[in-house]
Amino acid sequence: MTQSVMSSSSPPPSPAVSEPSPFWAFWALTRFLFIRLWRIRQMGWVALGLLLLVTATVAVMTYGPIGWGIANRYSSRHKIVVSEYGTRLDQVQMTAFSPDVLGVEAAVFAAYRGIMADPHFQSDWAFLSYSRWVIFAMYLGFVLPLFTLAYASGAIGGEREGGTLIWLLTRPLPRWAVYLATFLGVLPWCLIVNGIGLLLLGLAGGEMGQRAVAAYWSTIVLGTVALASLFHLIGALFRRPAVIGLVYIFFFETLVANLPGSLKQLSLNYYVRSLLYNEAMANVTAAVPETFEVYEPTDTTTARLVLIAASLLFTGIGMVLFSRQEPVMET
Amino acid sequence: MTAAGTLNPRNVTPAPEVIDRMNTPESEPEPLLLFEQVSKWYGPLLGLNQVTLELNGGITGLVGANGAGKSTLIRLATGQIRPNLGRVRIRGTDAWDWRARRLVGYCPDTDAFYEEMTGREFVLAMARLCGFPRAEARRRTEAVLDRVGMRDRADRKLRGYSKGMRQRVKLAQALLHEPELLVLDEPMSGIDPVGRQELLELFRGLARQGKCLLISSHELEELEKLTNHVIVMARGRIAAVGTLRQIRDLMDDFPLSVRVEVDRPRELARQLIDNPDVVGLDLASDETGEYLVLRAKHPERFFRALGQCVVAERFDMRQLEPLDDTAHAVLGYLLGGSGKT
Repeated sequence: MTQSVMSSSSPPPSPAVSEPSPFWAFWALTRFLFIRLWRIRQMGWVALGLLLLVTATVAVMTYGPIGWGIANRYSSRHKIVVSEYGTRLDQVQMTAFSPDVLGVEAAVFAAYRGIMADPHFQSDWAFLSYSRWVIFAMYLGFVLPLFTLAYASGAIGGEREGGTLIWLLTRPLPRWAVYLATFLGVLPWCLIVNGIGLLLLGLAGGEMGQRAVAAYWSTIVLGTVALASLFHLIGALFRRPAVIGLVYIFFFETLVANLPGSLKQLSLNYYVRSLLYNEAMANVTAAVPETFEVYEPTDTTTARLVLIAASLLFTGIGMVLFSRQEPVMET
Repeated sequence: MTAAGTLNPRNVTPAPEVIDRMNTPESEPEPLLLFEQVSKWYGPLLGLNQVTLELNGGITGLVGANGAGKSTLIRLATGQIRPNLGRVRIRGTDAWDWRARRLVGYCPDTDAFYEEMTGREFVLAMARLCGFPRAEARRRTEAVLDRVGMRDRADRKLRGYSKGMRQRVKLAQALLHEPELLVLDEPMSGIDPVGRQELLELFRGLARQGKCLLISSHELEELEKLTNHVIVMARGRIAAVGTLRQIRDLMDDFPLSVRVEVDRPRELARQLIDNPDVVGLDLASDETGEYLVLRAKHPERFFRALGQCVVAERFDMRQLEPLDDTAHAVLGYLLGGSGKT
């Protein structure tokens, strides 16, 4: 045991050399947590698996025979694909009608054919179709909230589960600073993983995907920050943040955001969807396909302000509660 | 003063180190650690009951059974929880306030680490989280690792460390910012005898440098080697404070009430009435029949006599129940824990 002889008589490190600074401690904690989260968490694996599945599905759809355009859509009402409408119309016109009727019909059909043949219309239709199914349903419905939950709720929640929160809480640093620093440490991860998710889906979506990434990325950033601030709060306050977060995502966000009425204004998803919808509308010149709609979307400025305010509010509430309440510990 | 119920810690003279510090109050008027009438509940459970305590230096041992309130007291002192009533102060600053933590080093009893880090990485990270710039953090990390005898073993992953090495690393991080008060929760557990001696020497060295150490342990014997200033906790209260000798004397002078259920209570009463340690004797009855309530001093001597009497006279003893829980717990420690009085 000679190697472990303690030098209890050695002089202590002089405290006068350098005073500890809470400022340095704050940034050290942010950096510390960022590096800690490098390890993908369990929830992260689930979300990653889901992303790969979604990406594969999107790729099959994009590069498959149907694609996102309208031309190869099958119309169950007419029992034909949309691009066959023209041929069908020709056949109709061949039948014996009075010249008057034919004249009116020809005018209507000409406009219809014109629209159908317009490359702008076709491209816009495909873009909105891609947005509807991939960005709204898959990305916003599952991928983004799950990725954000996996990381944001683990910033403090993961430390608590591992029993290591004690090391952070006994540092000479205000509790609100611990809360804020851990949030700043985890936020880049939320942005990175959501960004990768969006890029992968964009790549899988081909031309439409690239158009969507360019149009939506700023909204995705805002939405990620707002959701992350909420999940970080949940992670700090509850012992089982993942469960509460999942309930929130699938019951509150998904259900409430789609309900008519004013209740949906309480969900973050509603504002993100409004923003995306407005972006999409600004991006297209042609008409909207049947399924692409957001119930009473709010305007862009309001939606942005609400998301920013929600982020600040959740973080503020978290800082206050975290500095007042005794930390929730594993029992 | 209700701090210790019937046993008042203020009646007991503090250890010599404490007196030394107390003699120079002008320079540091605020006590280093001060509990003022502190109570803490966990829901309906009372964790700490009106505890008053002042520490200014030297080594203080904290003993008590599980659930006696040791952990609550330690968590309050290190600002992890807040009292429901009363105040906990570190040099005048509320212990919950982050500035108080600058003065407190804490070695927790939990064994949770960032297992994938090496010991050196962990201590360095803790130093950085204390707010030291990189170079200073490195310097301090090496200094404290050296102090706990881990400098040349610090590059292994924490998950591969023995219990004793983990204890040393925990201790090292508590020393990083040179705190005035060191709160060490079970620092000896899992450390082999040689290591214990080294740690005891380290603790003495820290105390010589003027630090105040509060060391919890459930082994009184261990603490006895280190200090004769001991706080005994029982049922959320400070049952006694002082040197072990003083606590034992107090216990001897403090009559203990015991309920004795025996087949022939009147006969037992006759046998015991002449015992010099018995100061009171009541014959009472309830639905279970007649029983004796005895009040006796010098518990150990009394119980030995009672036992001899019961065996000699072939009494059938059904129950022996101390009626004063606080005293009972202290007794458990002083008699059972160290095995010598």
